[in-house]
Amino acid sequence: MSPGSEPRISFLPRLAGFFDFLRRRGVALGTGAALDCGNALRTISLLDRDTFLAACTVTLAKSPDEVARLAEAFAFYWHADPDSEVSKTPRAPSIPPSPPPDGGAPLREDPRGMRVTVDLAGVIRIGVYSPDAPSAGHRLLPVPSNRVVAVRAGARRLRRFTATRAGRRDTSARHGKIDFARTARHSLREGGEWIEFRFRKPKMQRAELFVLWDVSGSMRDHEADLFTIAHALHRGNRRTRIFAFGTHLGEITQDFRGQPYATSAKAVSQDLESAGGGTRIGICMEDFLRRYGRQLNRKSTLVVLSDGWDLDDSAGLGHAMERLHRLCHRVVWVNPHADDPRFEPTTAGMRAALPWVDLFLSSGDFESRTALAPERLASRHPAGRPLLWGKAFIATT
Amino acid sequence: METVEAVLERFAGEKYIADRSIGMAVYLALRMEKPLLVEGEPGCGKTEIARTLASALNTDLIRLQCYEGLDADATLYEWNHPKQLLTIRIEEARKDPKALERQIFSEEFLLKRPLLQALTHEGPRSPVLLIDEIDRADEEFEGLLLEFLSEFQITIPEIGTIRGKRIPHVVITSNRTRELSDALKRRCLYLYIGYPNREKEIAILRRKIPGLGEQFAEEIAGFVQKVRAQDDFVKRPGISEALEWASALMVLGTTKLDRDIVEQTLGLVVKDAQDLQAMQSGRLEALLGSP
Repeated sequence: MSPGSEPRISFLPRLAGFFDFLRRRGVALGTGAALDCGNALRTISLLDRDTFLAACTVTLAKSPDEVARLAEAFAFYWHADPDSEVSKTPRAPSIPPSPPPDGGAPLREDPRGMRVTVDLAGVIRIGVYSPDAPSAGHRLLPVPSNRVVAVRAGARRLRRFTATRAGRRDTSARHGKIDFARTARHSLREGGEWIEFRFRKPKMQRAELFVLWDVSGSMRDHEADLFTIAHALHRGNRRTRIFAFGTHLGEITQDFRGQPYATSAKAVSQDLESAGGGTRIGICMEDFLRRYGRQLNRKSTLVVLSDGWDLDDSAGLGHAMERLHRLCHRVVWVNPHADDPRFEPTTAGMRAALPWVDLFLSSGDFESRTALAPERLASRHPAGRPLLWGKAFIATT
Repeated sequence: METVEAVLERFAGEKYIADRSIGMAVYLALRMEKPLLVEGEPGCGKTEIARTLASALNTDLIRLQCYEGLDADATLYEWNHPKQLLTIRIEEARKDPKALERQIFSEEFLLKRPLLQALTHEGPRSPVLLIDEIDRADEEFEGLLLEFLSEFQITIPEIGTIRGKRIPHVVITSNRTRELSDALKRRCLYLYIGYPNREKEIAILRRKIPGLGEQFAEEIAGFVQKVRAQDDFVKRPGISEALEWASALMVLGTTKLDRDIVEQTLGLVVKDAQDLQAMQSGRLEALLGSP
């Protein structure tokens, strides 16, 4: 490859072809970045392949993923014959899969489509789910409007359990920084004399809320209810981020942002079409910690919408929940089955998670006017089984 | 710094071991007068790039440390209200109100914050503006930066638009705790710094810590690389941890890694209680024993 040695006129179409090639491989490339790249290439020697790649990377990539994708595309495009059909055929990016959070070897697919891992102790673990399990479709059935309104009220009541933080805007206060504008206005009443000062302080706002929504097969019957809760939580706090998980974790906040209920439901239904059929809560929680753990702080509240039905190792879920509990202000678990008076947290996942849950709710609690009242929660505390329930209701004591 | 090689040479002179991608990013940022966005793991030398650049260019470094709630008052400018009040009291009897208003809303009464300072810098060379850990600031702050980064100007309603005599060299760092907006990324050149490989880490250790023997540096780098390879660790050590650890070992007069000294100083490399627990429950032996 020696683009610099060729006449400029024949290099530019190839460069434009490279940009097009990158776009087809999923690199979000705007005209501005393409122009930057062109300008950068004018300042360097194109005879050195590494220099050429480095200049392209600095100007075209905008994330580590894109750096890897660009390097691969670069190697492919600038080696292949530009006119051949092969070079024009986009391939799926072959970014190596991230290692599993349990420290084991990367996942391998076995011939039956099952996932097989070998952990550090050499134990072979065969997944009891399939990442390609056909989804039965996630069609969110309409919920009566009065129930939606009731859930929104419940979500507002839940806000009292979340933390507040100082926002960027100021509000008037008795103490704090001197508000010169208001002091000046007030002084007009006193004939322009600065007798009494006015103060301001940062306006408090609700801190971040992270919602982890289990969209696996076992939750299919409760999907609409849980979507209503997630939508109500997002509506009440614009700093809410929503993640769906089943066999893997993905963020779906964009489906909720500024959208009315029906539009959001449609977008979420489309997004969840490709969701697999199993549940790996522990692995997904660990994945969440690895990818988003640094965004959690002592003011963040985590809401998990799940029945705790984990097909993987529940010890992993316990460790992940312990860490999440340590990182967050409060961990809330909403189990749709908890509405049933005969409900017992018998699933291994639920047992592993409960000691690290601050507030354990059913989806029906959001519709009840009194369920989130502190005295009511305290009365429901199953004192006879502290080990099993752990800190489930500590928030109310 | 007219070539990438010159950048690498000057950085090496400032004890910063840069690879070609860093050299290229800095070179293009200087040539194209565009901000450089540096992302990467904590402790991998992102902030150090700005410091080294300022030092290599023999110019001032203006630093803006980002935090949650950062606003225009703390980043652009603020009117010096007490001074304005005093001036009003002193001058109100003598001056025409219009002239007085013009006076109290002039540059003399402006408290310049880092962005405006960088724009109106009076030194002989453009300063280096470091906007550190932008991911800690709110998304609204990114919006506030857009005019500055694309036009290198700041609009003050009472005065007008202030344009810099010289464009500052802007380095923005992020630890990737959240995704930055596309608008901000579009205005910047991009550099991702990952963990260094063993050879680079040895070179950094030897360059930064005078007197560190080659074999000992290899041992330290080898151990740190093994700790970094633990996928289940919450906090993996960066270069800064390796440097800190090597310095501590030098202070202790150690010349060879053994189990006791590693155990006693492990807190300098492993900085999470859960990871420490894992190390103390058998992982340390495995790491020290493995080739």
